[in-house]
Parts: sequence; C-alpha cells; structure tokens
Amino acid sequence: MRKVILIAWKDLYTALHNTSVVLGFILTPLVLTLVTGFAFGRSGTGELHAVPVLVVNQDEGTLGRALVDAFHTPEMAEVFAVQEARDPESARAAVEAGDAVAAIVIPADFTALLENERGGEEAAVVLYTDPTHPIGASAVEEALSAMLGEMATRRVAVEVLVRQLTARGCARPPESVTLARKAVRHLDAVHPLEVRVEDVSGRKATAFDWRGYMAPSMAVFFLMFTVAAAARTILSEQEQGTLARLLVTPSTPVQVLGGKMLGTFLVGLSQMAILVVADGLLFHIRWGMPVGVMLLVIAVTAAASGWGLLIAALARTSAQVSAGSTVLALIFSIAAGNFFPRWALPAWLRTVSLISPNAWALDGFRALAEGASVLDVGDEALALFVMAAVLLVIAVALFRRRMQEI
Amino acid sequence: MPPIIEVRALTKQYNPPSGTVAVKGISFQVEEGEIFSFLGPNGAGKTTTIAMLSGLLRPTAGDALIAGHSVVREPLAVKRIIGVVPQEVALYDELSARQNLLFWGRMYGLSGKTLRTSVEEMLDLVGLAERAKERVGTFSGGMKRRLNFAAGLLHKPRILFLDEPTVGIDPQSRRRILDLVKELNRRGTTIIYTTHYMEEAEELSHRIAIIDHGELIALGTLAELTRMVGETDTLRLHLAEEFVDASLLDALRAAPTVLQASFSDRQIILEVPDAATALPDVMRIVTEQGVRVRRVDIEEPNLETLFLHLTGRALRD
Repeated sequence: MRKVILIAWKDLYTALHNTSVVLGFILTPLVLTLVTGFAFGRSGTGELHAVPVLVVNQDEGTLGRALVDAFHTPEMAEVFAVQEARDPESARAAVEAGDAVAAIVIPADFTALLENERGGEEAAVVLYTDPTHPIGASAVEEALSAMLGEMATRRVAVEVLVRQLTARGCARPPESVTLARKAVRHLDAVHPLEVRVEDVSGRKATAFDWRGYMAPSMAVFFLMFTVAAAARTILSEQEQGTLARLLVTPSTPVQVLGGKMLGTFLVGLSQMAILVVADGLLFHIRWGMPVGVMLLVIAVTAAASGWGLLIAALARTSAQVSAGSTVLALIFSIAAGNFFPRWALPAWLRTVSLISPNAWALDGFRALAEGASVLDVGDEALALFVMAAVLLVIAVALFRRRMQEI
Repeated sequence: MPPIIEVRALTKQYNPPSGTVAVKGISFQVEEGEIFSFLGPNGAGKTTTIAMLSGLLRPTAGDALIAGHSVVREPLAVKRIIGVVPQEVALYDELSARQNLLFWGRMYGLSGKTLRTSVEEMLDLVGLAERAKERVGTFSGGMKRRLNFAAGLLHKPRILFLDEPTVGIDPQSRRRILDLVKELNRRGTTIIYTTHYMEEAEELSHRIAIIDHGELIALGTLAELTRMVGETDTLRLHLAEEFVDASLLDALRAAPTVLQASFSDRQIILEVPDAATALPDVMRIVTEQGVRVRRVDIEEPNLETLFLHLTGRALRD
C-alpha cells in the first residue's frame, strides 16, 4: 500500500503544482460560476428573470380564477411575470411577436368540465409557447401541468367522496355530489390552490438561484476534465518512459496501477473540495448538509475517475485521452443539465443522462442545497459508487493487459 | 562461484504467433564484478533483452537467473537486486532533481536517513548538488541524463543495467558517465551495458556480446573478438558525398584486395587483408565513379571490423 500512496501522492503534488491545472480546473469554474450568476441573475442576486406569460381566462367559474390566481402567488411571481390578455388571438399574437414567452388560454367551460358537469369531456387548457425560448416555455409548461394535475386530483377526490357518501348511505345523488363539492371547496378555502414548480425528482423548488445551480454544475463539469487529465498521465508516463521505470522498481503492476488510479481520484477530490469551500466562502453558496456534500463529492469523484480511467484505458495515446474526455465531458454536461436546469430537458434525455455521473451528482447536490439530508441523497451516492465500481473493473482489466505489452 | 547472471535460450516474440521475434533464443553468462556490454546496431534486440532481464517484459520462451532468481517466476526478487538506467530519460520534469531522487529512492524501498544520505551522495556523484532544488524540466539534456543515471543507483544495486546511457549527450557529460561506470564497477557493481558505440564497448567492457537481428553473433573479450577477424586492416574513406551508388560498393567488394565493404555516415568502410596493397585499387575504383575522397584512415582490427566481418554491414547502418 505504501507504493500505491507514494505514486498517488506524487501525482497529486505534480497536479497541484501545475499552473494550467490550477488555472484551468479550479479558477475557471469559480469564474464561470460568478459570471453566470451575474448573467442570468437579477443584479447579481442569483435569481432568474421572470418569464413573461399571458393568461386568457374565458371561464366564469371558480377553477379558472383559481388557476390564474395560482400564477400570482409570491412564489410564482419570482419565476413568472403574468399578465391577463383580452382574447386568445391577441395573446397568441403577443407570443408570436416575442412579447411573451407563453400564453395560457383557459376555456369558457373549464370549471364545468372539471367538476364533471359535462359528462366525460376533458377540460383542455391551450398553451402557446415561443420556440425561441425553450427553457422559459418549458418552465411554464411544467408549472401549468403541475397545477392541472392538482386540479384533476381534486376532481377525483370529489368522485371518491360521492361514492363513499352514497355507499355508506349518508347521502344520495345529487345531494352527495353537492356535499362532496362543498367539502373540497372547504379544503380550497383552508388550503387555496397552490402552485409548486417541481423538478423531475419531485422536490419542491424555491426561487431559482442560478449561481447556486451553476456552482455544482461547473464543479462537476470541470471534474470530468480534471480526472481525465489525471488518468491521461498513465499514457503520458508510458510515452515518457517513467511507467516502465516504475515497473522495474520492486513493485507489482497492480501497485503501480493502483497508485495511478488513487492519484486520479485524489486530484479530482482535491479539485472538488477546493471548489466547494471556495464557492461557499466567495459566493456564499449553500451546498447543504456537510456530511451529505462530502458523501456526494467522494461518490461523484469516484464515478468521474472511473470514466476518466476507462477513456485512458481505451486510448492509445495521451492525445486521444484529451480528445475523448472532452467529447464525453461535453456530452455528459449537455445531457445532464450542467448548463441549464435538468427539468427543462426532454424526459428521454433525462433518462439517458443517468449514465453520466453529472446527472446523479447534480440531482444530489440540488437536493442537499434545498435542505435534504444525507439519507435523502443515498440513492444518488449509491448509483455513483456502483458506476465507479463497474467502470474501474473494466479499466483495470484493460490496463493490466496493456501493462503486459510495455 | 556461480555466474551472477545466467541466461538460457531467452526469446521474445511480440504479438505471437505471427509478430516480430526481437530476441531469438540467446544464452550467455555474466560473472559477478564484470562489465558486460551488448554491442549492436539500433533494433538489434539489446533493449528487449535488458527489458526481459529486468523483469519488465515476460520472455516468450527461455529464462534467466539473476543472482539465483528466475526473471519469470520471481520478478520482484530480481527487481530488488538490480538497478536500471533506461535508454530514454525517465524523470518527472515537474519535480526538482532532489524530489525526483527522493521519489525513486522510496520506490526502491529506501526511507529516512538512508534515503536522504543516498540522495545527497548521488547528487554529488553526478555533479548536480548545486542544482538540486531546480525543476528537472529546466535542465539540459546532459544534466537530465546524469540525473537519470543517478536515479538507478540510489539503492546501490548489485547489478546495474545501463541501456545506451550516453545517447544524444554532449562529450563532457558522456565522459562523466563513462567514468562513473568504471567507478561503480571498481566498487563491485556488476554492469550490463548496451551500446551501439564501439568505442564505449572497447573502453569499458571486460567482455562483449555482439547482437544483431535478435541473435548473439559473437561473445568474448576484446582481444578474443578481434582475433576472430584475423590479421585484417580497416580502410575508412571519408567522403564529401552524403550518399553513394550501390554499384560502387559492389565494385569495391569485387576487388581482389577487398574482403568487405559498407557505407555509413559519409564513410566507406573496407575490410582488407593489407591496407597498403588495397589502397591503390580502392582509390582507383572510387575515383572512376567520380566520388571525392576527403581523407583516408587505416585502422587495426576492432569491433567495427568484426561486425562488418560477421554481418557484411557497418555497426551504425
């Protein structure tokens, strides 16, 4: 084990004394976090600019009004700037002209349909969106879907209550229907219709903090480059002859390979640790429960190291590692939402992105920032450790074969 | 006393069964305290042989015993006994000279005072004590070569493998390394030295093995080897031209006073029974082909002559 630690320590020392590593992989993510915070935030406060949305409420019932009011809650006002429009045509024209990102048209019979007074018909809310603002449009769609889902749930609740009242002989239709509606309206009065923006994992979202989002995003994005650069040293040591020299010392190939792998992990871990601490100190970013953050940092570093080492094991030259890792890091970061929120991505891409450490890590870090405990991110950590184990086993097998060729 | 190195039919084929056979079943023994040189052109199989003897490459067939330990079955035991100075400089440019030696010393199991003493001793030995704190990346090629050399000596190995340690360095650093080799040997280290420089093999070696195309074609002391050539002289014609026509070499070989002819580094090298008799014939043939001769050297039998005699090619072809 001494030899393993010695090689790993040498790699860590040389990486941290390499100006390009410090500038490229530690300062750059910090600067990008700062810049994106200013770019997307309001006066640098880190909040998203409100998305302009028009609403046309043709419904005279209570549910149409409730839907409009839900967009005016203080929480939603942070995200959406909602104005009411006269008619569907003018709303649509405003979206086409780029004056609004989306327009919601609530039909005249919305309440009646939702309360099932028009036997079996579906209440269709129309949403016009501006395709040049996919993120904002997607956010409106998500929010609207959440609200309608809530309303549909209430409709089901009425139906269930009617059945229960009838079955137990407490009331008969239409009296049972009236009673059930009253009960649900009473609940509305106590808990007025509330809209929550939820990410794909279903956790409650508060005001969107771009800098808080970009800090882990940038850290994980650059982590992929860092571990690939560290893993690339296996190839560069082979090219420079130091790998052969290591192998003629009284050390086994497993010790040498273990040292290089541990070195890759330590370099990545150092980068993540520095970024987490620096983001906290410089930008006051809340990463969440320290134990949970440590667990996720270790897990994502292990998984990213696995990918870096696999690329190095598959490549024939250090230049191939650089090219391969850049492509992989970019694909992972785009698919997993390193540059824009994951909930804005199509569902299929969100699923595919789970092959990347980025997706699991960003979900975990976001949850921790929102107050989740270490147990809440257990799934993410476990997935990352399993990913690391699988990738390392493959990389070791490939490297051992290569070492026999040196 | 048994030999410290005993090589038995050592063979290395890359990518068997169809790949190149780099070393073809060579066998030899090295006595403790010898300087044993492998002489041969680039690609002859010298480095592959060293790689197998140092446990870096697994032989395809055969075995070698290093101080009684098999390189196939006990590579770690072998690695503890030997030191290796690789052909290419294998150091970390980002670390200082001292940090490099400390790292390699630890890799050989040294620690504490023993390590620190050995590092300072080696820095003194290779004349880099004054530059110990400087990054190796800032060193000249010669300085790197000397430090590369020192890194292989830190643990005071019984057997030292030196693979072309003087390639591409300035004459001063080369002289320093050759003197170091002699000094180490004087202190009792057995040295296996590979080179394609005939002069180095002649100056250093107790015995010389000549290797070509993976085969051991001659082995013995310098005197024994030169006797193999017989009483022949070497004529070395230094030319102005960079290349000569193959027909010129054919014409020279056809001359009754010439045994062998080859061309290398703007020189026509001829093995002749008697230089005085052969020279007029040689000059006539060369002049007829319009080749300008700038200088002629007449040499006694040496390893170059032997290689030419055995292979029909110059050592540096």
